[in-house]
Amino acid sequence: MPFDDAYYQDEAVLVGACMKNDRKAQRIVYEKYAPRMLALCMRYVGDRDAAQDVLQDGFVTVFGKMGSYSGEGSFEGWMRRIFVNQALMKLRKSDVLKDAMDISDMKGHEPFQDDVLDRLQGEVIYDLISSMPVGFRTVFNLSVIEGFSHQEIALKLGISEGASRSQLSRARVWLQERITKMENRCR
Amino acid sequence: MQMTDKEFDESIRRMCESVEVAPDAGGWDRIEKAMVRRSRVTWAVRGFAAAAVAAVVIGMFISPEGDSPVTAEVVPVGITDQLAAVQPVVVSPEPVVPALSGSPRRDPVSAVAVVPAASACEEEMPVADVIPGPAAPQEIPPSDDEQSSGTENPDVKPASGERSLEEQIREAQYLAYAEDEEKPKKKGVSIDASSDMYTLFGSGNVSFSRRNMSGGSGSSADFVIKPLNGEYPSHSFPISAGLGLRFSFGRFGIGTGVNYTYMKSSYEALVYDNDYYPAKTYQASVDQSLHYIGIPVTFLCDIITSDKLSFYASAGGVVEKGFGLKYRLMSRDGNISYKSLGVDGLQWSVDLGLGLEYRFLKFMGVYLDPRLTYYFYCDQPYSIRLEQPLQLNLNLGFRFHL
Repeated sequence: MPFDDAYYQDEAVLVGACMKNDRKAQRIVYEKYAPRMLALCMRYVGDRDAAQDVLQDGFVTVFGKMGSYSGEGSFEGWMRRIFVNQALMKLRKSDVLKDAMDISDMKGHEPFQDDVLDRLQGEVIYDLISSMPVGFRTVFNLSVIEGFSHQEIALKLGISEGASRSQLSRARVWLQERITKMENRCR
Repeated sequence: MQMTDKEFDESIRRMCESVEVAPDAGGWDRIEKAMVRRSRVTWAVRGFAAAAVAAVVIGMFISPEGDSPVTAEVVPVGITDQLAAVQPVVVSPEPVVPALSGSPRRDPVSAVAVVPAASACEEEMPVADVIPGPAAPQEIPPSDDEQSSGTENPDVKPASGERSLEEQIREAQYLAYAEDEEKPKKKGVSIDASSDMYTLFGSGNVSFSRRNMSGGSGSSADFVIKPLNGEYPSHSFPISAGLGLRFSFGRFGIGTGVNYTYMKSSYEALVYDNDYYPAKTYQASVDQSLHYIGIPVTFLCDIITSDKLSFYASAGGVVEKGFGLKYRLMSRDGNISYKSLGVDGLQWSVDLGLGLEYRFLKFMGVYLDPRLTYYFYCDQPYSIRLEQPLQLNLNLGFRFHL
């Protein structure tokens, strides 16, 4: 049944139409959320081509599992969880997480100043996160961006809670050092 | 002022949330195709699985062979153990059956020498000796306390012309065993020689969602072929042949063997070739040939069988190894080059099917097995199996029963 775009403005209507396999509604969902989801995928897998694969698989899964969206919480939040799982599956398949959780010694770092971030754009931070070592990147994304607890991260990645906390600390230090270096270069 | 970890995390999260990356063009088309493909596979597999399960369930209820219920029901207490030891026999023209008391008598109806009651059993010859086979019925010598031969035991002789219970049992057994003897043997080994025909529904629109379509081993860095999207590939009918061995256990069976498949495709592709210095990338028309040798494992279940015809269901899988991957590459400026590569990895597939065999000779039959096969993505060189992972095959051949 052809509807114009105005019909799909309301998210509840859009989601309901997707559940009925309305292709137009699905396409609108894709066009609306694909840029953010691709950014999410690239933050996890680091590589654009691999992120495109995850994006495609993620949307196929989203549209296939629309029936399981109960309406609790935001639709975008529900989709993000699916994409995060797809990204983790991709990383597991590539075996990159296998040895990525080795804890290495890191030097002590300078305290981070709060005004440094104000001078940077989001894209810069995003690029830095995408270039992190995969173990740091995965835990940092899951903890800081997605908000999972260390217990949940430990379950997802098959590591201990202690390892998750250590990885996060080291990821934070890694990121702060690079932000500081970048800031010093720009001055 | 120093930031706490919590403040730092919150700032980072806020900065990253707003970042967007534009996806590649054509992303939606790929997703749509993947959804259509998944839907087709889901419904085809569901439908075929339902049909196969229904056929198996119906077949189990039809029960083409089985013990006659009469035997089990009418056996009187005390005779059951002895009857259980009786071997099935072929009809003999003048079977000899001892009466319950032990004296032998000639009974034109029965074909089974039934071991008499327990008291006489120890003195009698074993059943196997009494019933040697189709040609020679023998008499069971009477026990010592029996009356002389030729005199019927008054205890056994039915009154008023009706058949005794024992006679009814023997008749039922005779009928049951005779029926079994006429049927083809259910245990055995057979050899299949077959070929496959395929139905191809390729639309020509291939979804090249996979990043790399490199062919062969050692080629991921040195030689890469990426079929161009939108250019209609041409896939010839795969040619398959095989030899199989099938072991039957009653209604069920298991088969294995070896099969060979040859596939040929033509398509436009972008080629990266590191054999040149410097390495070059160019568009080419590609003619590709690829061979597979595989080992199938199939589980079978007879649904309906008769002397000449049998109808069965099958389910199984194949693991195949590719070899002899060859490319003929013609670039836009007319240069032709050839490339031969090995094939890494294995191709896995599963199939579900039904089969019909017509036995035109006692030891030989011809069969037709339509089956649905699904080829998993196993990072194999590009072929029709990537474009159309779900295929309907027709396997036909000759079966030799040993």
